[in-house]
Amino acid sequence: MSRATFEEFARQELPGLLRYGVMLTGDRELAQDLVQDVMIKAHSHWRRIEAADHPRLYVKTMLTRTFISWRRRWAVRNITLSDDPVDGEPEVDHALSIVDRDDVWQRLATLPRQQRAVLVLRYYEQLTDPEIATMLGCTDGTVRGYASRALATLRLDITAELSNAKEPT
Amino acid sequence: MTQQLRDTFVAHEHLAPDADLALEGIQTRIRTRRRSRIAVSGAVVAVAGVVAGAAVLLGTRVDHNATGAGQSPDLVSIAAGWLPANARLDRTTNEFGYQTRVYVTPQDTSPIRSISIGLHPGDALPWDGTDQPSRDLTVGGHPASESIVEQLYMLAMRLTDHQIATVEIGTSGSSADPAMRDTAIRVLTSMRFDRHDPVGSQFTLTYVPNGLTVRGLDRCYNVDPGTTCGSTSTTTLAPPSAVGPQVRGSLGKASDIVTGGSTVPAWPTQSSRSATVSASITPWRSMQKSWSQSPFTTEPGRPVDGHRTWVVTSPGQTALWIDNLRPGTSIVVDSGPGLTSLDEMYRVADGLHWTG
Repeated sequence: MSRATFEEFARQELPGLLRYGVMLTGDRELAQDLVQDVMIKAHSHWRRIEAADHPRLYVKTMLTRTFISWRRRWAVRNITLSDDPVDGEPEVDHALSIVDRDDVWQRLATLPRQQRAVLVLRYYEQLTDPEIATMLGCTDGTVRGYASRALATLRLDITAELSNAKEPT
Repeated sequence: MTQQLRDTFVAHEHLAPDADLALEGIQTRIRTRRRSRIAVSGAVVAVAGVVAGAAVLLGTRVDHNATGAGQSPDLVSIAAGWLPANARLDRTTNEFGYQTRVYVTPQDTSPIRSISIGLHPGDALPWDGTDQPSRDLTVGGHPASESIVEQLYMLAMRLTDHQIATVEIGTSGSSADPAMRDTAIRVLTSMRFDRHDPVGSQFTLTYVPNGLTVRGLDRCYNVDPGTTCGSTSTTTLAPPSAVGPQVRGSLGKASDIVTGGSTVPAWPTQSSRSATVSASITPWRSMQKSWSQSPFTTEPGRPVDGHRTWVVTSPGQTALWIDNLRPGTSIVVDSGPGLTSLDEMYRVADGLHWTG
């Protein structure tokens, strides 16, 4: 019974979880490894997950946390550096306002995992900061800090955007 | 900006792997795991009985098992010889035989942000079997290999006694700068391996659940909430047979500093039962707000040593939070992905002695 339920869950949720995995890792193979690892873990704890109010949210939380602490292939293939530009005045780069999606995608790959996870949860999953904080097991302030640093790194300057938005079209 | 990011993510949804193939892979791995468990369980019981013996199974005895590198986890045998000016020790770790010491440098005086020295058992380099680019060298007569990934320069050297010594430099400049190699070689060739320095844990445990033993200690000296370390001291408990983080992957802590990434110790990869005990500097009130929402549940626990406790249940794990055991420092007993019961977690907490 519980196995059938796990399989039902897997069949229904895997497409969404794999898409989410791609947003987190930026890589098809890594996403598959990550989601498979988490689903195997979920299978072991299925009784507990099945009893949860929101099994999908439960597994997505497992996925997010596993991604953040994942050290295997992820670590060796994707060690990146944050320049911590948050303390300085973000450089306004107007070229970036028209940067294509591949450029943004490449830039996302340079973010530390927590920061990328926050952006994915905010802008792809469209969760609120408190919801993200719950998922990551941190405070709202920490979420805002990650988002702020990530956006500064991406040079998607809010001020520039606002000023652009004020310009007549 | 919101729309730009959203569009970027949506535009890459096509990268998602095929769900049917992924499901097939999951089902295969589940079947394989079942078969392996059946086949191996008999042998494991027999071997564990002989090797581990009564000491492990007594439950109340704290056995600081010798690690793979022959050093008890409460000691480290490595120490830096030469280091760049103003480098200060930030972290000492000995987990599953993987010893690491991390030094950080003031960022305004050098492009080098951190230097991690390490020693781990085995013959495999951290990037063996991966597609991480590397180049062979000879350092001090020993076969060595360097790898440059983004702003990390890594150098690993095979020692004669089946151990690997490593140096990892995190830089705000170019890791391909020849000066990084010179620095790494100088650090590596001046490293000492004959020390018996304490990791410096802030507490000791007088009770460890049946079948677990202390397999790792981690001490951070300069805690910066939300960045490098969230805990000042962490003790990792796992079965004596559990295998730790394998050599494939990050050399460890310097990359965490550079990326601002999580520094939570990797869980033993071949254990279904493990736990950690950490000294947390995060105030309970900060965590409570996050944890008050689904899918977390928090319930008041029974007092430990006169201090308030909470039991936090979250996906895949349970934590026992002992509030302000010392001013500004709480203790978190975390079941990890394992099966350590709440009763055992209380017994661990009751048996904790703060040494500072």
